[in-house]
Amino acid sequence: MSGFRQAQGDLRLESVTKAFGDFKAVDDLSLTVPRGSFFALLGPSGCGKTTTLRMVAGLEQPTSGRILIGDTDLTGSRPYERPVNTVFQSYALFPHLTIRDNVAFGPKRRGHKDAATLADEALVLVQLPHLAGRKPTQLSGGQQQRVAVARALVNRPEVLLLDEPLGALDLKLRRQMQVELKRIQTEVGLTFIHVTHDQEEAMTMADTVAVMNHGRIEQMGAPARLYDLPSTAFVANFVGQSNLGVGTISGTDGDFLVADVGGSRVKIPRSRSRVQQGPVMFGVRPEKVRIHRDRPTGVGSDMQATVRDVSFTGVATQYLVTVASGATWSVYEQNLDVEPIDLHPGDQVWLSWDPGHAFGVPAEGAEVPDGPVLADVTITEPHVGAAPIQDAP
Amino acid sequence: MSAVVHGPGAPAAPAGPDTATRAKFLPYLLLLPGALWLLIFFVIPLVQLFTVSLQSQFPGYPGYYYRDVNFKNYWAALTEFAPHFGRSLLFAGIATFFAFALSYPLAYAMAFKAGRWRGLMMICIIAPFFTSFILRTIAWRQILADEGPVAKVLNTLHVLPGGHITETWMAVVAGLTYNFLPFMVLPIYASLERVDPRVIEAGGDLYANGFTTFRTVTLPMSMPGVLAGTLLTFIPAAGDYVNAELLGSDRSTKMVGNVIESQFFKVPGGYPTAAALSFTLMALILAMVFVYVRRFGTDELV
Repeated sequence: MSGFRQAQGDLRLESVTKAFGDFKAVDDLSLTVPRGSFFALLGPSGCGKTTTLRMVAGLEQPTSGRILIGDTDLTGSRPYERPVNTVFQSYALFPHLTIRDNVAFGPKRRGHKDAATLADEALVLVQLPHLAGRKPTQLSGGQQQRVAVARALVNRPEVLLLDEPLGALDLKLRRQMQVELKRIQTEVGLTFIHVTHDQEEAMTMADTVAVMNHGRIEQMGAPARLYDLPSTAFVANFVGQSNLGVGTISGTDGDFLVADVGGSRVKIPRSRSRVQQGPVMFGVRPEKVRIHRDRPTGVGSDMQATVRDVSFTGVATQYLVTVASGATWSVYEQNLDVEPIDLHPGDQVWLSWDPGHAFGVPAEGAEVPDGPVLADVTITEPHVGAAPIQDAP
Repeated sequence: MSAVVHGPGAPAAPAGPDTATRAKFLPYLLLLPGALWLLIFFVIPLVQLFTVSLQSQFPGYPGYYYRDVNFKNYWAALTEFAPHFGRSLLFAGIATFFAFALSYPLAYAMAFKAGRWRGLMMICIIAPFFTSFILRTIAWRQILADEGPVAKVLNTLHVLPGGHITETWMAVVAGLTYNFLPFMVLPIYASLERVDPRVIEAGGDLYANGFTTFRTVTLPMSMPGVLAGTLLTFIPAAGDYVNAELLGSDRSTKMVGNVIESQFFKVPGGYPTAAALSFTLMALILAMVFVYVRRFGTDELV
């Protein structure tokens, strides 16, 4: 155990860069994760989130920068010297050991006399004490996942890293495990860092979500905050869906900026726009937009559109409409009316929304993931498949 | 051909007892060629060999035998050739040890470190098989000869007792090690290659340093390969006679294989002795393998 670094406190990454040849997987990343919080690193594949995690674990060394827990510098130390444990994506259970021995592996290495007892306690925490004598191959995916969590948790690490731990599970089991992991985190009160490409998973579980793209953090904050007020076009589309359009700010109207987007005048609250003049990317969430046959009166912003597709999902109906600029917007209407509005592709409609919900993000360098337009927002699969709804620049 | 073509409305081929019977007998049918082969070329000769091992000689007619149940052949073979049995097991054991010591790092490097060189390394291990192993063994005589580089260097350093390598047990063991090396490397490589690097990372993540991870994770996970490799090396090495014949001396390095060979082909009236020796060797190896597999083998490994 020589070299083991006992450390307590917040996890801090200071200007961490990781380069593989010319490619910067992680680019000058600085980050503080408060002790005891559930933190999610969210991003598409290849955004550097797993590399960040592996650097915290010690499985990769940063090209430059420092990694600290509290005031203890962990940079350069080996994985086995860090008070950090990982739940691997593929679980990486030891196939030659029983479940109990798998979980007892860490405590044994640290010289605990009662490693087996600790292991059994950890298995109770993940509700699998009855499987202690089995081998990993005799367990289902969900059970293996929970053993992997127990094997990491039993060491009571200062920071627990979860590398897409739910990726291999089916949807129903994943939902269940999300709740389970959250329960365990609340129960043990450790710092959890959860890497995922699933925005819904990140939002459901984490106190703080950091959205990563191209090795940098695009935006960080509470899930509701990220959703309500994205600060870049990437976040606007990666965290949920957005109807976006590039335009130019042409003036002001009280607390609002007025922008010309594809021939329509739209309003953005000053406080909700990252740019105050010049080119802007206007955005509004699909569920904030209402759809009408006739032009409504007395609502903030409106726009004419043509229905392209209607899909009834039970609780709501999703409309895809083409707006004046030629872009496709998405609209969610909850099915509240006794006599639902009966729309068909080709119908002329009016869209309206409260301008207070609109947001503005920088238009230049705006990057939106490509993908099929016809996608449901409830999809939790790799989010690159979610609908980017955007004005052609 | 027309029989298999049905009109759209025609009933499907009857899938009744006929299909069930066929499905039941198919596995046996597939087993038949192999089973026949084993029966004709293994079981029958084995029984034949056993009967030969119990034959007695016609007194006064060397080379003539009659059917008998003469277990004295076994006693005679064991007492007379005990040193050869000892050497066989000892040389095979040492060769297996060295083959393991050489193979494990090699297989490990191939599985985890070789990257794009892996294919080339694999070819280098298999390529010698394209040459006759008699030739390769004879080549070792040159390599280990007194004027050869190995003996010269060792003699310069004064670390070679007796001054020779050829015609000593060292040459025989070297030959055995060399000839059976691929049978050790390949199974170990195959089992190491299946070890998920993430599992090794998990060892590091769970406070095991490099050596401890190897001892507690990598090595146990590669045990099926080690087991297969040691058996594939030890068993044929114990019965081998070519290396002792070509690299050893006339007296002090002969193994059981050499005795069996000379009893069969060179000594008049040696048939029962040779057969008894063969059976004893087989029984010895079977017993050792049984103990070994019971001790180290586990089929629960993935």
